[in-house]
Amino acid sequence: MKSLLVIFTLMFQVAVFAQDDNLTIVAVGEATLEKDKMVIQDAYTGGGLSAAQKNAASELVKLMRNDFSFYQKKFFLVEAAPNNTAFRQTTNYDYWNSKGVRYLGTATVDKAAGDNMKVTVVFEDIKNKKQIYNNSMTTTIAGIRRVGHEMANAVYKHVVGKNSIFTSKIVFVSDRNTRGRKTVKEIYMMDFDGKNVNQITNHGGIVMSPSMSSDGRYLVYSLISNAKGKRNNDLYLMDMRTKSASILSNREGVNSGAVFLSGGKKIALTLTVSGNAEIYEMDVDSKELRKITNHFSADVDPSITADGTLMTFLSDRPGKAMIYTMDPRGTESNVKRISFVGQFNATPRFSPDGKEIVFSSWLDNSFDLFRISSDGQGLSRLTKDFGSNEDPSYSNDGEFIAFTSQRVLSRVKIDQNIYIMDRDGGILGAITAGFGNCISPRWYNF
Amino acid sequence: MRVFEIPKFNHPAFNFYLRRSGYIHIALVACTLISGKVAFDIQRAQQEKNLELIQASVRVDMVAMPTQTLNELKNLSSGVEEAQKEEKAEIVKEAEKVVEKVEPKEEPKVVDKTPDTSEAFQEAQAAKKRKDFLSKLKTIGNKKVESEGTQKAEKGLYGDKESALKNLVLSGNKLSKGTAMYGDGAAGDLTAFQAYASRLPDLVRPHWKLPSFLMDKNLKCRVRVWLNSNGEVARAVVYQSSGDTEYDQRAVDAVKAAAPFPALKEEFGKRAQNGDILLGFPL
Repeated sequence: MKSLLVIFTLMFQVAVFAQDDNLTIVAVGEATLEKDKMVIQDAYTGGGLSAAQKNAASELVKLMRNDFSFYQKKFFLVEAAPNNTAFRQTTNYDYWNSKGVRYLGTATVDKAAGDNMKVTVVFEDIKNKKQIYNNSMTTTIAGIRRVGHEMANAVYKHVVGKNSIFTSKIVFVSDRNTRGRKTVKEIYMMDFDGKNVNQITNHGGIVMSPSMSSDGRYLVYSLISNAKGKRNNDLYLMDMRTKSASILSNREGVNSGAVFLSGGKKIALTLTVSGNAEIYEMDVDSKELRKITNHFSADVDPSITADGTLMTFLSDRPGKAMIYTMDPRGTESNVKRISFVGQFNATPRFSPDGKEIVFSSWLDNSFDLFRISSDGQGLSRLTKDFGSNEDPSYSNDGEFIAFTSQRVLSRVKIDQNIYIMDRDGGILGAITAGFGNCISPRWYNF
Repeated sequence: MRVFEIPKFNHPAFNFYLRRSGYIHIALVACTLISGKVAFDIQRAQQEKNLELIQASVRVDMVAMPTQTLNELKNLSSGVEEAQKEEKAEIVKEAEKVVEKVEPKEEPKVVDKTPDTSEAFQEAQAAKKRKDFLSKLKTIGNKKVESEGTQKAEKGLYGDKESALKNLVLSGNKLSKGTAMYGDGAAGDLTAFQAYASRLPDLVRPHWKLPSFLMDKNLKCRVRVWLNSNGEVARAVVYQSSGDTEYDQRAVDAVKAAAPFPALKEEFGKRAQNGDILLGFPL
């Protein structure tokens, strides 16, 4: 009797579960992306603006359209018909909705005191029939680009929930000052869209591998001086506020490939002072050194995640240049090989979240860019048949990669420019042109 | 004479029976819990197995730098889907005829039709010429697929071993590893009901769209679908919510937009009408 009871209970239980869950699951798979249609109307300009100011107003709208068009996966920019009224009207949501538009942007530029202009930007969510952004700023013609980028970023942040690249900067090296036989390379900084280029160093030598602290206060770079005498590869530190540079390290051999660790107080760099390239950590103030790698093979080109727990670097331990990761807080700690294929791999760089590494690799007679997750999985190719591509750098939000692409124009002439692509390898275009050979882009947002 | 005895709590046997009763109760409770857990686990395993059966893939080890870029691979896979639609449209018709001849009670191994009805095979060959991707892919994992795949693929779902192979190779060559590493997921093992269910994702996917802000969140939901005998969606409800109402709603909308699905067959119609199909967004 008791056993019967037990069996009954058991069967009852099974019946209950079986009834509920005997379902066949089939996976639909990843969704395709629904792009949001966006219209940014021509600027409405108030009375009393000068011709130059009106120009700036149309520049502002162009700039915002250009900004959003970088995010091709998120927004689909539709050209707007010319405004048929002189002033901004209340939005006809039904009209725009019928056109399938999700976001509508308008800019109004009015005259303000002196040379100033009052810029009002309004963005509306047509589908939900509400304003998502409405802000005014007063600026001059010179400041209108910065204002435009900031406002576009605010709109983007509202829609997507995180910062865009619109206020970011790219530091790079160009040889445009070369005169005669001696090559001169200097560091420049520009907005992410290639505008607003400023020269930063002026050594008249070969400057290379720039790296900025995350707050934009300090710049560290290497210099091979063109001055007569011993030519060594020395490491310099520049205070961006005073623009004064000082030598950080001028040890025998190479002092190069420096990158800032988060906090901006320490750098990781490559030194060949021991006769063999090793990666060291250096305190910027005390200049004290600590070995991060310690191996008879050459270890170069460090890149460190924002939290400072993982470093990727290039090593020829297996006999070929391969990518490794390790914990940079110790010496030779947790060293792990990431890449196992490729004839020659170079310049591994972390994505901002530290989950991916982009690097260049020699394949079919040129360098191309590849991506691999930082645990060594998911190797995939990003560029192909697009010149020789090197020196990748992730954007601050991890959605884009800046890199240099080299074209051979003739037997004696090559052309090297900085390009931007999305993180899946969709090329957006060059952002430098006619500015000498541009190399070593580094993407920052501060 | 007294009919009822007054219970004596100091009776020598009382403690004995009390203890025994206690043990039995504890044993009963334990039994219930254990059996429940076992049944639940079996059920879960069954559920997972179903999922794996329909999601087959092959692991491809990297032996050289990939020659195809990510974007090329993406375009490639969408090309395959288009090619498959063409193929399926014709081949499925053939398969249906075959099934009608077979006795309805028999477990419909649709594919009892042997490869010598080589029309399907020729069709596949033609498709192969149309798309040159196969030749490109040959270098990757071709050997493995042939050794493991041929026997199973020959009795493939639609009598079409080429497309089954394409699927396998492509799944392995995609962005990351597949969802299952088992080699026994070939289409030949599916029941008619599972085969029917496995056709639904292709129909739903074109309607499965997300705005970018939901795309980045890695959400997941499952929709339970009740079908009418003519393939219309009678009900579609969220079975496992993603936690985001818009995401759930878009999944349900995708199912409804994709309807009507192919008409149900009698042998498994009951199950589809009872809501035995779960669509996973994305898994």
